[in-house]
Amino acid sequence: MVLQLSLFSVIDDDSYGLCVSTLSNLSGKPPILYSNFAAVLKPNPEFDIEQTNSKNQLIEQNRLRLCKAVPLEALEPDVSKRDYGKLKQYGDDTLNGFNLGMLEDMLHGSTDLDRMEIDEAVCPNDDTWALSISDIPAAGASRKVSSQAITESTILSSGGRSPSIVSFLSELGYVLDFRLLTIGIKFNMSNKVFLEVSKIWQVQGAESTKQLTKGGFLIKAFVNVAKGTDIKSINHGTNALLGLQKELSGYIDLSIPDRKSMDSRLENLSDL
Amino acid sequence: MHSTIIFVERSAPATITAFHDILSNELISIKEKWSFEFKTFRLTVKNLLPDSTRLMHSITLSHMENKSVIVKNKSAIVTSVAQGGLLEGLTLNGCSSGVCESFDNLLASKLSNLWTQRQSIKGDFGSTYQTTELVIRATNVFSYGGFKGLLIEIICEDDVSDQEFEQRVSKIRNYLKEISIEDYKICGDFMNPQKRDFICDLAHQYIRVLEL
Repeated sequence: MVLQLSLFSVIDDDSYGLCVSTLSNLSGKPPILYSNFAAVLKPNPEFDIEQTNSKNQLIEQNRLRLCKAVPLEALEPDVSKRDYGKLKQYGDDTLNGFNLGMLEDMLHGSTDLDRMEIDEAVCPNDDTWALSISDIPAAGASRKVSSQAITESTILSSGGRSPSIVSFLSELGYVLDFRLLTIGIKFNMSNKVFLEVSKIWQVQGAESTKQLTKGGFLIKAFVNVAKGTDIKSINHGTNALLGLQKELSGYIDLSIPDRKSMDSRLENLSDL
Repeated sequence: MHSTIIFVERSAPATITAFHDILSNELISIKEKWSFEFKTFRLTVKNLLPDSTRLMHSITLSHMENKSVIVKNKSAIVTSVAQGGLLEGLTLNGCSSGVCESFDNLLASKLSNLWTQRQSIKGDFGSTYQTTELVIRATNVFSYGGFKGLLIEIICEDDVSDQEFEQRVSKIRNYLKEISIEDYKICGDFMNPQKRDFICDLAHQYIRVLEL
């Protein structure tokens, strides 16, 4: 179980260029462009699921997050140069020229044999998914940073009669809820702090996307602590985040988000 | 790669020694120790369709880089707790925090309202024999401390035909006959004959011989 300490903020589209150069100066390194695709699954609503386990402990029904890296060059085959400046072009709901069908194939398994070979050429041998379950962030008014426990496992591949990851997870009792595509840049700051500036789209089938960060960018600064009991590292991470918060204050105001907005439990539907 | 699993329920803890002795003329070398763990989980959902299966199995094999295969209803995933290189791509792209747990742990902690563990069968400190034709792994199997039987895993790493592999396996079966073991479960099936996948098929074979 990883403890993720984090602070969030937003900037608008026009501030992006200046923000990137400021953060690059601060971190001393250029940003790294990244993109990932996440499928969020919920327990099958047709199932009558107990709230408690055999030991009579209360178990909250959380959503599962299934996530893997999607190289931009695979999504958008025709563009040659890719750096942080690319993100400025993605202001809209739609992602023109993006091969969104590929995302569907990744989840459900491609039925078209020819296309499968092409996909394999683009993303070599990579069937690996990260599967994680996040708890609601810890409560308490005196907290200086948001802290969220994340349980994670790695799925290397799927096989069997219908060899898609989604068909296995439906056997597990989970069905697709929504899908998100994130494109962003990442800064490696001092003291193990990562800072991500990203745009997020909700993917609705192979054709349609809706940008959830329209008009701006989400900023997330975080530190991962491998063990929730490692108080020393937690304190260290908290101080590192607070240091960054202080350094950026007045420009980017990093703050703790409402913990309900980071709640993945099934009952919490209001924000989704 | 081909594989077949044999499970001899009617055996004694000493049978493995007899098996070793009968194999010894064929042996090139004795290789690393190995172990496996087999767990069964049961779906606790009440309103399932009557004909749907409730059982899910997980099998972890030390000699397959400690990978686990989780199988339900002939649908499978391969998972691993491997750190480092494998996770790097996921971590760099913000998918993973870089610290992984086994899928069994995930089931036991976060999904325990859906899945309850039913049984655990283990084989520890088994032997690996290399012959000219095959890699044979044998181990005594225990469940909660009680002896359950002898498990033999036969793998052929050469690129041979199915028939050739059958023949090599039947040689081993003849050896078993010589030490008067004739009553056992054997499985060399594939999970999905149209699309073979070595580790998934291996897991399928384990499950077929071990499930009660």
